[in-house]
Amino acid sequence: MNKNVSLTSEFSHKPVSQRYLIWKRFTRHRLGVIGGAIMLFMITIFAFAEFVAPYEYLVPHADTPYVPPMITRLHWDGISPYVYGMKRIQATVEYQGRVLPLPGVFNYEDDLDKKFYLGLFVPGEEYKLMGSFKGNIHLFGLTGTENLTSREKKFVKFFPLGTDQTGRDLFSQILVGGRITLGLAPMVILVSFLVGTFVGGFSGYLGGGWDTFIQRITEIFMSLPRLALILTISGLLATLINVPPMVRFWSIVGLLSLIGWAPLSRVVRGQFLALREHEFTQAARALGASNWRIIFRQIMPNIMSYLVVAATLAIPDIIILESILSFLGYGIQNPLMSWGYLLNAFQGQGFLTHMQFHPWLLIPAFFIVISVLALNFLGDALRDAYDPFNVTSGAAE
Amino acid sequence: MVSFIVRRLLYMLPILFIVSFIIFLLMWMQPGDVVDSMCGLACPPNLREAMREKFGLHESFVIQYAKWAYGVFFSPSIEASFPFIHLHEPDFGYSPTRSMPALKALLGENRWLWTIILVFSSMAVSWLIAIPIGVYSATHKYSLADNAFSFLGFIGISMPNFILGLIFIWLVVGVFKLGLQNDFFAVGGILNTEYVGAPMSLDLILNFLWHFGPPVLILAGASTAIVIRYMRSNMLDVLEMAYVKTARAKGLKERLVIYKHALRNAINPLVSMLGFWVPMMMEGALVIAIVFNLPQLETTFFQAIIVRDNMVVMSGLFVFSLILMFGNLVSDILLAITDPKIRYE
Repeated sequence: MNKNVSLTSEFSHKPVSQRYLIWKRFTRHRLGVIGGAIMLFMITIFAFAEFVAPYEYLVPHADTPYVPPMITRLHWDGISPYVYGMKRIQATVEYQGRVLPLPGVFNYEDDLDKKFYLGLFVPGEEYKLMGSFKGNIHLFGLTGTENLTSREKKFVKFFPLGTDQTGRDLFSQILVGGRITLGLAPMVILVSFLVGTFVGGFSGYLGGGWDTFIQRITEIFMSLPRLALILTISGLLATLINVPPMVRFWSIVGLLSLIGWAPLSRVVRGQFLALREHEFTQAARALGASNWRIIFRQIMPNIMSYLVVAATLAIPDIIILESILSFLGYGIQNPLMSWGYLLNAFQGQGFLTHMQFHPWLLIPAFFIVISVLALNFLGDALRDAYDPFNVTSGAAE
Repeated sequence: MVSFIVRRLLYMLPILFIVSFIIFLLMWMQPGDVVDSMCGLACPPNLREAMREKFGLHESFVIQYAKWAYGVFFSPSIEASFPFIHLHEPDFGYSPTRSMPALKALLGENRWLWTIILVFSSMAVSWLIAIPIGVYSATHKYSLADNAFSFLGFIGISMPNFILGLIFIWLVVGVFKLGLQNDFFAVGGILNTEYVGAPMSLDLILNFLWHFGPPVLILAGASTAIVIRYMRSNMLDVLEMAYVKTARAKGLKERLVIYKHALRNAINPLVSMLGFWVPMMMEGALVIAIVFNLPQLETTFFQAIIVRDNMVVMSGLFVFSLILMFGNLVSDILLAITDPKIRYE
């Protein structure tokens, strides 16, 4: 009897799946969990960017250029936030004893007579959610503006992070830009992984002459300078005007994949070379399995987790590259929006003016850093979780 | 060893040929040419034809490529008539917008020198900072300082160079407004204009450091973080080895164990990575040079892309791939020297 009890208690432990172990190891990595949470939060918000954004990101508010961030001017009445209307004041400069107006430069002050509460689900500018669902309800906005004249309405606005040269809301632009920035990188990774796995896999699996041939091609691609090459090619593309936005988006995806696949195929090839000689592959071959079957049913599942980790670690790099490209003016362009393209204001003539008087235009940089940081933490935690021997290779490539 | 190097050098030639072909093909496929940007929209057709003929753009692809490749690969030569040695530079074509040979437009005015100084000084800075920190982190594993360094390292890796540059300029120009208080603290370029061509003085050196120091430090930033990571993990691996235990067991001082036995072996893999490091730094230097407007070959390269001066762009791409290939070669050689396990037949 006693023996029986001990036996059942021994078997009452549930068998622990590999997935559970990985999850367990992942959650132990606190920074990784935080990174993952930040990414999830960002992705949810950016998916509904037009709804979350208080204004349509391309609509200019020509009467209110360069409004400083209004988050700092938010007041609290108990728990309900309110802002005052804006008073636009012509900026002046003293020159040779005379006071001259600076054309097009304004200062903004609170108009204490007008007080507007912030509300949730407020009707505002019309938008098309994900390009198909029309709507005009925004997550938050100013309430009680219905009775104002159209002239008054122009100065009753809530721009959380300020506006740019033409009075477009920076916060809305950041939200929509985040969708492109964070959406483009996984596309690039997907394309370059498909190509890299295909090429590298065949190279490693077939071996011999094919391997040498494919490796030579990969080598040529790897001896081209990455950044200079994509700058050149997008410099060529920039001369094409009236390119549909989606074509531009996909051409940049293609461009970044062009430099992404080669190093990846190297790695995949190495894995294939190692697994090709393994016992289970030989067993499958002895049973008469076809090459395709061995590649897709035997080897691929074995390197899949490795590929997932490598993909997560490669995404931050692509985000940075896209930002550099757009920052230099050769990546994403109007009417599309990306964080790097928002920083493009700092290219060329306006550089020092913006630095001195409109520093809030640098805010998109903060979002780039945060998302890259979060992805790095996430990738690091995933690598540790998937790697049962905790063999961590140096740094994120 | 020598035969290995020679073989690798010879092997580079066909790859260089193919790379040059790809570069030329890219330029050939672009819509429009330099005449469009030089002559403008209201260009009379006969003038356009004349200009195209002048720059050899009217000829077929094969002839244009053959001319260019001949200039690149076969025109450089060394003419030695004792006691003089005369070096013919490779001919990368003529830059119409700058009215000079393309290679001179790209590298001239000591631009190549500034690139080399920027890349190597920031490499030196990053290694000088990173290696002691890496050793410290490995020997004090999971201590407060180690965790702090690895967190800082994460931030360093996640900070793109150009954003660091922008933030630095914002601090100088926007927050502290140093330039308004003193002309000495201008940003951009390599010297204040009043110092250009002035005789050497302490002010000039300080001004140079003010202009050139920040780009060096910023460029060093990200690579410092990566070197710390590599150094830490290498050091941890080495500290587990039997010979380190032996050294400890025979009563050697811990300091000697670390610096004499462990560090030397832990640093080897890093040295072999020197070759990969240079192209990586070049990439960072490209952006930094544009943000800080440094007189480097990267800025001319970018300008050439803007005005579509194909010859300069092509020579730039060629020079960059040459650096990349040499970097790979150097790291292979260093690997063979430092790691006795690797043997090249």
